[in-house]
Amino acid sequence: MEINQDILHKYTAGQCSEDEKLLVEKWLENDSWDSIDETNTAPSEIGQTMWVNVSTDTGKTKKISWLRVTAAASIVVLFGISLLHFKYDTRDAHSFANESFDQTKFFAADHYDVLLSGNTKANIDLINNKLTFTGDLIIKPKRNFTLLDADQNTLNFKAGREYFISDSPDFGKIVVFQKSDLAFLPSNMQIKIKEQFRSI
Amino acid sequence: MRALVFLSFFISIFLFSCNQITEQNIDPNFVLCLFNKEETPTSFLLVESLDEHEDVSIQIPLSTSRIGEREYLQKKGSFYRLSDRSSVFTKYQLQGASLIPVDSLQLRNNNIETVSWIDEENLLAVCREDVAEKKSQARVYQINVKEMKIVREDTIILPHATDEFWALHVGLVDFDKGDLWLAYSFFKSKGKYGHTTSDTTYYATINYGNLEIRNVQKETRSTYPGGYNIIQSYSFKDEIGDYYFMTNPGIALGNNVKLPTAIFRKKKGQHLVDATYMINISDAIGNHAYGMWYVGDGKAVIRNEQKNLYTDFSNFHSVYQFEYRVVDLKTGAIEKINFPLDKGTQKENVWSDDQYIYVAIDDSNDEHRVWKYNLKTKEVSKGIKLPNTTNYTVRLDYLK
Repeated sequence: MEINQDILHKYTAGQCSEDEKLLVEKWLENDSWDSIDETNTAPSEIGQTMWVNVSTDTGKTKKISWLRVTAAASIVVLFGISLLHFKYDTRDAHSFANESFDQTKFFAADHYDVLLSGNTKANIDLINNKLTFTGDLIIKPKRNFTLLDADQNTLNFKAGREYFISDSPDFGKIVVFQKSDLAFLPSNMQIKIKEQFRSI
Repeated sequence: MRALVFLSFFISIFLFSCNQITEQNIDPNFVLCLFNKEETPTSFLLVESLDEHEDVSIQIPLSTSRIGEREYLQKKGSFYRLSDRSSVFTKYQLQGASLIPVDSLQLRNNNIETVSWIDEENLLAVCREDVAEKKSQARVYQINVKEMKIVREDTIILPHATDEFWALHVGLVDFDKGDLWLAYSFFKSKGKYGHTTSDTTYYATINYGNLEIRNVQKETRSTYPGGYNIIQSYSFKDEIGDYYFMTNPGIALGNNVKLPTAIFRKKKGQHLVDATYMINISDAIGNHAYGMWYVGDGKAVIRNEQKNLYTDFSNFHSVYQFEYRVVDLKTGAIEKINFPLDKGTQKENVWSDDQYIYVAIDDSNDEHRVWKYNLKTKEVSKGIKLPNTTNYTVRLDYLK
């Protein structure tokens, strides 16, 4: 069984069998460059399609009907916003703790997912916009929000991103790195972060 | 997150249906690896030339946006990458606008520290192993990349680990006259994430036939030789086969900042590093550097940080601080190139031909462009402009 556009459509529609669901989730977690099955007769390989909207200024592409695109995109965005609005109109405050020494612990909240490293505690208060924590964690926001840390630094979190947060003295202060920025840390540091958070 | 991925997927499907890409038939000579804004996937940009008026390109997304996306080898248009999850070493080739996996190998290790090529087909890859057991042990693979076969794999236990600095970093490997040559140093952890390197470098010459260590040379002039050369280059051979390499004790690699960044030499046919030769970069420019590329005629380019512009790890990669300089390997003279300041730690973004040095720079105007330096006239001019969706241009590789 291969990943192709049909199976992705089925996945989003919640029509996948357990096996197919596992396969798609494995693909989403995969760290290889392998893309989806190319023998499918769909318009193009998925990566290529995903890149049309970010590569318009790089290639010899035909002119886009921007009016149509804008109209369509607006509908999609408005629909998305309305979903977000209805779903996320309440704010909350939660405390999380992972007393394990070396295992991570995952929590799903309404507005974010959070993955705590071993020996980590976090209090995420979206009502008063406060973050207090000790240890290391990864936050995956489902909506945009801003939090103040214990040193009164403003930390901005955007929906769909992943953030590594640490108060380790090795950094000298509380640090928040977007996932892509971790690639620039010294390799030994990256290895240690990857050892803790396998999903990075 | 998943919902957003799929939302963007369906938006792009829709856009695609409005906008069929013209079939592009380009014969790319270069590939640039782009870390993109808004955490969109890393991509390859394929171009035929690096000139300013180049307007034909293909962009290929890499399917994930994991942090190791830029860690690969490229040789003659084939790409090689080791998965740090599965330890599978995969060969990819470009086919039109796709990157196709063509073959793979299962290795025992999931992290390559340094590589070099014995010849066009045979790769030497060195991995550090048994870190948990505090053994200074390296695993050396010889891989024939044409047949994608492991020719041999060996474990080498290196001497000189100390109780305090016990963790091994093998930063350079060379193969000369039937002998392996490894340059390495030892580091220790500081706290949860930090590390520092001891003040000594070791150069081991090993008979590749029976793995007998023939000689270990101790170097105290600098530390942390090389680095991870699947990320950035730290060594080369010149026209006559003399081997030059740099040490990187700065914050971004060895983190023993009191010792200088320096260039050393091992002459062709010699197993010992030339004790009379050293270009002390830190003394000359007052800063550490990372990355070195040979541009011919006894000259190399280095990429240096500016310590007065960054505070610590939190902004080292994101401030516009990096400069480029030409080093005369014979005289040690160092001359700054008047490029815009660049950002991004450890980029592999320099290439040269007979006339120009080409460097892909992400400047403070959020312009992403290849800049050219004329080796004869020393004039700086513009090369190809890169997509404004770019955040960091982390690699520039010649495909031929």
